[in-house]
Amino acid sequence: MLRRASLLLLLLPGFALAQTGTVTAFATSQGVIGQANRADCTSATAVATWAIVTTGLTLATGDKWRLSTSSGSCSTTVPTTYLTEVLASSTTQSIPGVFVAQMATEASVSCIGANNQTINLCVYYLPTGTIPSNPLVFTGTLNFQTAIPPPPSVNSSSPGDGQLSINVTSGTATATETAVTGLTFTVTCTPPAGGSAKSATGNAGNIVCSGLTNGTPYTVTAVATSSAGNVGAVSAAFGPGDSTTPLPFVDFWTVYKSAGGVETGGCGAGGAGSLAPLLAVLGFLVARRRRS
Amino acid sequence: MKRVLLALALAAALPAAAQSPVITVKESPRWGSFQISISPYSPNIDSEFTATPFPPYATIFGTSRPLMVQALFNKSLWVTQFGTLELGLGVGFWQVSGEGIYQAQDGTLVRGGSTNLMLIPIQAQVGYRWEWFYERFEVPFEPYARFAIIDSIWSTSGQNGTSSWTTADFVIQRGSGATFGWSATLGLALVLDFFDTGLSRQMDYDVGINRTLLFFDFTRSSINDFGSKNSWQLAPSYWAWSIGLQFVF
Repeated sequence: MLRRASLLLLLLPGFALAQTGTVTAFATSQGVIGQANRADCTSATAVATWAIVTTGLTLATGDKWRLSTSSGSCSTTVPTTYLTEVLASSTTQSIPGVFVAQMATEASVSCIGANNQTINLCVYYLPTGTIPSNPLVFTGTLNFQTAIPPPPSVNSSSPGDGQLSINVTSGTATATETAVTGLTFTVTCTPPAGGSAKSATGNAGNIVCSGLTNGTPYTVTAVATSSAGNVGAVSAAFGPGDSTTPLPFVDFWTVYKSAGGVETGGCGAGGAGSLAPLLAVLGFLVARRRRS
Repeated sequence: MKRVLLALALAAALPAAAQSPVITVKESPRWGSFQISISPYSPNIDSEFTATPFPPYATIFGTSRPLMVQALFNKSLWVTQFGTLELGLGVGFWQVSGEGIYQAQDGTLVRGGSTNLMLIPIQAQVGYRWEWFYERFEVPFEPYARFAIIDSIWSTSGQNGTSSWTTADFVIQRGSGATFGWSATLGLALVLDFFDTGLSRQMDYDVGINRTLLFFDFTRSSINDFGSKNSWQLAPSYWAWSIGLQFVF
């Protein structure tokens, strides 16, 4: 019994000093932790920020973090090719400016491939002056969403007053355009040469392109964007034609006034507004009697 | 022994008595009423256009009569054995939607899109309910009459919010406003308490509702700013019926 207790006491400090940690990364353009898209992957300037969180580690001046990525598990030996090396100034440290394209290349990610290409983030702790044979490694993952959507289908257009209601649905997936769910669509209504185009964004179904000029036939196109922000190719043009020409809308008030209606709008037309105080007095009397 | 048995019997009866108390107190004093009603409604806007083959209201909204919902709160001013004189304030809501018209470049007209007309009538009314038949003979009917001054707030809208119209001299007339008028109502209320006086007394005891009435009435009204030449007619052209419930407290 005494021996077991002694053994436990000896082990306790070991538990207290256990050195653990995690690392996460997010591409600056995404705002979603652990995700990067095709644009990040192919861009020469897109960067990610790595966030390292460790416990049980006592840092000394000159200690470093060495960052690398891997398509498989992180190596247990310190890599000689790596992304970057920075001074370890804190056990909770944010490291900005890591190029996403470099991360993808090191982990053999296909930037024009599919979604859900997960790579491992490897952080090696390098104490001052020595490169240990068995270094501490903190790991995390980053998910590359590189699939793009196919060109959407512009199915129909209904004219409105200074607007068009465009029916848009997702196109059919192809070998290189596989993102067909969770899409948003941007519809662009372009007037004949010389005018400025108007755009509107929405989900599949009817998207209203507004701010248009009545009587002008517009050409309508659409593009789809995946949930990761990958933009697909532009759809085939729809119009110009009758269905893409906004028309002036005649509502009830216009019909009434056009027919010679005498009502002019506003409050208490014809001097009857003087009755408003009477209503107010009646309301006041009722309220007063209730209080008494 | 007899005393013990009597005590046990009383103890057993107490919970039942607590659940259904015998209401022996007198009816609580009456001081007002609240009522809600529904009524098919169609304003007689087309009364201006008797010579027009396509009057605007019928062209856009057709001949349907959407329901108007109204609520009215009354204060009892004079309660006697014959009846009650009440003064009240009420508000309602009514809306109709119709298909608008698109005008193509070649001048052809195509129906489409949505346009609306909404009314919010606010009224101050005085009414008298003749309760003598029920009070004296327990005949469960109470005829009543009301007269009201109405301020009907209205708004028309198209595809871009509230409508507007520009006159030949470039004055913009917005499709919203308020129109005053009056209404007179004759109706008959069925006293529902007649069918279950026990429940009626219980309601009075619990929540202070003395009487519950199911009413049906006819209203004749005119809402055109009392004949102003610059106002349309927002009242129906007919005696409009309505049905509702009234709670007297």
